[in-house]
Amino acid sequence: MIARWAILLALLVVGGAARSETLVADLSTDTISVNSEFGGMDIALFGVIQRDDQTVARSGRYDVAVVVKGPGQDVLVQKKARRAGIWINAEGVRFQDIPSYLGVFTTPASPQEITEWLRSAERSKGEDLTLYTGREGQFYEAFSAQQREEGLYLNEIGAVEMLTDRFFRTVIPLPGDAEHGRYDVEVLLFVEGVLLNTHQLEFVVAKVGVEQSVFSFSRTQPLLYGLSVVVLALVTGYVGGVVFRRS
Amino acid sequence: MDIYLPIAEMPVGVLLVLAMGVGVGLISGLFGVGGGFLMTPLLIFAGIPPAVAVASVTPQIVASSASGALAYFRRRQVDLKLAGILTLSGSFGAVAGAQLFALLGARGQLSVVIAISYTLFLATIGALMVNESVRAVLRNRAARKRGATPQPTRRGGEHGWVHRLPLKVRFRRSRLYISILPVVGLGVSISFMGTLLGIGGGFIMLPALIYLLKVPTSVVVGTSLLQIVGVMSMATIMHSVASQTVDVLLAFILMIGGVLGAQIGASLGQSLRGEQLRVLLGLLVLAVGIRFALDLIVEPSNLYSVTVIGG
Repeated sequence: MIARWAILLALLVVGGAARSETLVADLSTDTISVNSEFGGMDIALFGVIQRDDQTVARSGRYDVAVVVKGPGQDVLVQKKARRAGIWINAEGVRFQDIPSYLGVFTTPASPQEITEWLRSAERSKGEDLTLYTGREGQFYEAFSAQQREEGLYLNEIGAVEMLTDRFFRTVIPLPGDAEHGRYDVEVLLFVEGVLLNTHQLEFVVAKVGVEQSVFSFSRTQPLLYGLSVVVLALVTGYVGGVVFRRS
Repeated sequence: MDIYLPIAEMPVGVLLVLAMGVGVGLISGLFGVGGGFLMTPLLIFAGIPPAVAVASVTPQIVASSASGALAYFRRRQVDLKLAGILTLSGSFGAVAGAQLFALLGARGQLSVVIAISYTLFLATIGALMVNESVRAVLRNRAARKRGATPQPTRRGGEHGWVHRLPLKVRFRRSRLYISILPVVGLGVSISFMGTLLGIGGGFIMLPALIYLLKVPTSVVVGTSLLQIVGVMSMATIMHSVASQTVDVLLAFILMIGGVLGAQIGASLGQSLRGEQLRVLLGLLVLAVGIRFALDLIVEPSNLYSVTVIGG
């Protein structure tokens, strides 16, 4: 890890980018290994705003937003309704390829400002953010509320800390039941609400060791997996019986 | 201490799951039941997704029934032919149950169906058990007052409608010559429900074999246990294939807890009287049923539920 920071600092010193301001950032790790003790993890993100000598000193302050998106998944959100006296899942909306994790971390600002920042960032990429309005809106709200409760959707205003006027850091908290796969991290730099530059990073959450072998076995050879579980059950039951009969 | 479940993809407290295993094992040893009808609800109430809970309890039932089945088999207290036909017909029930389970899971209706089934099922069985055993306690108490010896509960008439059905088969060990139809019917229906709900079904199979088919008490427990081992093994395999929600680690922790608890329960059970135990068991079954009913009747604080369908 020290080596990574060394590279980052070297970049900071050497600089040399042609654009007025550039962003350099890195994560404390780019692979999160899920083993039997995994119960969530905090990933640190450090970054530097570089400015070359020709750049005119700006009066406005820098603002940084970090957007983390987890692997997409298809979810079905259902609303319960009372039918014949009992509450059952009635109306439902299916969301396809919706991020399983969505973290927005920013320097201190008002929620309106942040919404504006993110809008302009989306626009710059030609994406449309006017998603999930109307009837689906309440279902999307319910979904994101549940994700927030589980620590999978975060909106942390002020979580990006400027250590100096150009050096910043934040922490990306990942809960224990975070989805596995690739997480895209986008660092956005603003001055006075204007997007100056972006920097892309990614990290991967993956099972390792026994967890990985067990999981892929259950998916690639489900029949054999089932048989093995049955054998384990029979042996455990038998051994248990033998042990306790003797004592 | 938390441990990460590889299939459920979530961390759980090892001690919590182990304690549940011991607790349910204790009850099953005490009352001579499998305990699946308690284990599955407990896991669901503890926050394990219903799909994982049901599918991972099935191998635990295999483990908890295996040593008992073996013990009865050694003492030759098993009707192999009866157990075989029950298991074979049960396999069809298990296949159908696992298919429906996977289908409901994909539609986001699994939790509701499990809650409704458990409510109906446990409330009915619980009420019957309490009613029957309270009567037995009262009857024996009255008999003792009169100075007579307590009478065993009645076994019903010798020949009901079940014994008039066609396609008769001889079961030598049970000394029965009965139609194969009710046997197949029992095997299919109980294993279907068992696979769908994560229960062995011994507490329905036993009364059914005794009162409906008139299987002698000497072989009935061993036969039922062997049948449960067979059907629940089948259910484990079918769940592994159809919904892929059998978590081997969760199942293993439950097995260890269950085996330990059952031993403690079995030795405790020696010092309690049979009818009182049955009243207690009936109340317990009723309580779990009511807990599920409340979830269905009381307006939930959060009306929305989220089901992940695919990655």
